This record gives sequence, structure tokens and C-alpha cells, in this order.
Amino acid sequence: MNEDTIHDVIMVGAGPSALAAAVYTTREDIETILFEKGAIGGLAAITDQVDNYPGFAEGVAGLKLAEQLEKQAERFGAKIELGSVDKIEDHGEYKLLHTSDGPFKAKAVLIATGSDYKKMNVPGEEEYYGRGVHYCATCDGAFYRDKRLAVVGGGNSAVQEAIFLTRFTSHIDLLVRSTIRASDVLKKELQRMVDEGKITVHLATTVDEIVAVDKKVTHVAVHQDGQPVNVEVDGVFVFIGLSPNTAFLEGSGVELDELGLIKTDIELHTSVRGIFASGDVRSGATMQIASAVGEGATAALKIREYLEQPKE
Amino acid sequence: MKQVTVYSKNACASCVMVKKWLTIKKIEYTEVNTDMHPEALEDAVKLSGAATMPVIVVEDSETLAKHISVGYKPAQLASLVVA
Repeated sequence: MNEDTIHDVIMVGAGPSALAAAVYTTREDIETILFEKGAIGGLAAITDQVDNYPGFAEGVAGLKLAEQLEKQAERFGAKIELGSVDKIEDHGEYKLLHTSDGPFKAKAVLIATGSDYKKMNVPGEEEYYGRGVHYCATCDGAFYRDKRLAVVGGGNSAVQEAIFLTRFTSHIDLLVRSTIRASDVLKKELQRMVDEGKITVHLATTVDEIVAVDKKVTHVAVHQDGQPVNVEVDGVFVFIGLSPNTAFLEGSGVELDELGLIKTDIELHTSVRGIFASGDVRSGATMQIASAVGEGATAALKIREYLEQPKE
Repeated sequence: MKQVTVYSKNACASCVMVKKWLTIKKIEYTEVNTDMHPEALEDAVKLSGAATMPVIVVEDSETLAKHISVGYKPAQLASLVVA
């Protein structure tokens, strides 16, 4: 393999959507390379428990699901490179990808870079990242055994991770900007935790600052119902939504929507011919693993059609 | 000669990635699983000053220099272990 090799398809990202797509393309004997700069499995891999993915009656650990998807894709010949794609150029019959491992060419590209957890952008958040501010409960929760935590957010992720963190902590303050927007199943479980005194829910609460003394987080300064309040904690876990990983597409010609998500047509084709998108990074995505996997399969079949078309 | 120690825990995607990266680069390492050895969690915090996993310790047996990396950061890992 050299710089002039034109690969069949390169997938940017190796989360559930790309891995599912890779299962389909490799089974069609389409040469497939995936580039992943973070964790294989994406956000699914850092999720404690996935209970809404079909086929697992008792649910499945996110990391386990990610490992199985990876093994399944590799079983059929998918090659996963641990590196980043920093830029994509459209050269008509091939796309040139500038990667951390050098230039790669491909006839078709699937962008399935997903999203990362959003930052709050408040004082103290960046400064104490990893030292009191966290975005991965399964990775860092154990450091807070018998300590107090704040969890910020009111959606499915925030509620699920708050419930998970109760196995370590003495108490959790759930800081919610408006109201709880989690599924009914999670709301019921949350209520059980509230009734047991393990979680206190603070609605209409916005975070102003994460405050530390001698570099140890001591409290979160918030506004609750318009009034300033200090919530004493030893650490903060943030789950306030998702931000798409599309910065590397600047100058590529791939059109984004106002949220930075990739616009596609019904066949998951982007505005650039030969470049497809699927999963959480796609405009209109439902941000569900099951949907991402389904879109990955659809994208793979559309890529096959694209590769079979006679080129002008 | 560099000795690499990875403080890890179960259900930690970044820990999996660090070990995978080291394996691909054919770099030998010693793993300390803090779920199996909870007492090592405190060692990891002391070494890194951080409450996050994994913690990677790279020791140069000739110069005795010790470098610490936290999380899965391939570029940083490369600069510590490959150079």
C-alpha cells in the first residue's frame, strides 16, 4: 500500500454506525478502512449500561457492545487505524484524506464521527478537567467513593449516569437547567433514588462556576430559581447534550446545518458526491445507538451502489 | 530502556484504547488493574494528581526520569514511549 493506492472506502470514526457499515461493506468484499482518533465504539463505549439496544434482554455494558461491534467488523476484514482524519479534499473520482498517518485516497468516504459531550464553558470547567470535572462516569466514578457529586444535565445521559454514580457516592445533586427530559423508565428509577435520599434534583438551576480551594473542587456556584446558591461537592460530572465532531470538514465542501451537523439526502449522501454520513453526526439523527447502526447499514448499501455506478 | 506501567480499571474505554495502542506499537507494558487492586487507585492519584483513568507511567531505566500521561492521548504517548 502506498500513497497512490485508492482504497474502496474509508470511514471516519469507528463508533456503532461506522462499525455496522463496515460489517456490511466488508461482507460485500469492499475494502474498508476506519480511522478512529478516540475510543473505538464512540460514546457507546463510555456508557455504563445500554438498555434500549434491541437483542439484549438484560441490557449490555456499553464497552462490551463496542467490543462486539469491533470484533464483528474485523472478522470480515475491516481495518481499523488508530489515528485522526484532519482534512478531506474532493478530487472527483477519489477523495484525499489528510490523516495523522499521512495521505490516504478513497473512492468513497463515510463520515460517522458522532458527537462528544458538550462543555458548559463556565469558569473552572477546563481548569479542573480530570481533577474534579469529568465527562465519563464509568471511567472516573470510582474516584468518588463516599463523596458528594454534582451531575449536570436533565436528559437520558445525565439521569442514567447519575443513577450509575450512586454506587460510589454518598450523595448526588442533579443540577437541571429546566426540567427532567429522560425516558419514563429512567424517571422512575431516578424517583426511587430520590426517595432513598441518594439523589437530590435541583430544577431551574444553571451552573455559574466550579470552585476549588487548593486545587480541590469544593462547590458549584449556581443560580436556582434566579437566586445564587452554592452546592457543596467533591466533583462534577457533566452531561448536557452533544456537540458534533465536524470541525475537520471545514473547506471540504460538505454542507452542515446550523448546529454543525452534516446535511444528507435520503440516501445519506452529503453535498459532496462520494461522501456519505451516518449516525449522530448527521442532521436529523435521533442520537440513538440503534438508529446509528441502522443508518450505518443503509450507508453501506448506498456506498456499494455508488461504487458500482459507472464513473464519467 | 523504558518501562511502561498502565493503571487501569474495568469498563474504561480509554484504558482499552491505551492498551490497544501500546500493543499495536509493540511496546511492552505492565498493567495494574485498580478494580483488582483497589489499593493502587490511591497510587494512581498520587502519581497523576488527577482523578481519572488510565494513568500511564513511563520510566527511563537509564536516566531514571519518570513521565506521567493521563487518559488516551496517542500523540503524547508516542512522544513518551517511542522517542
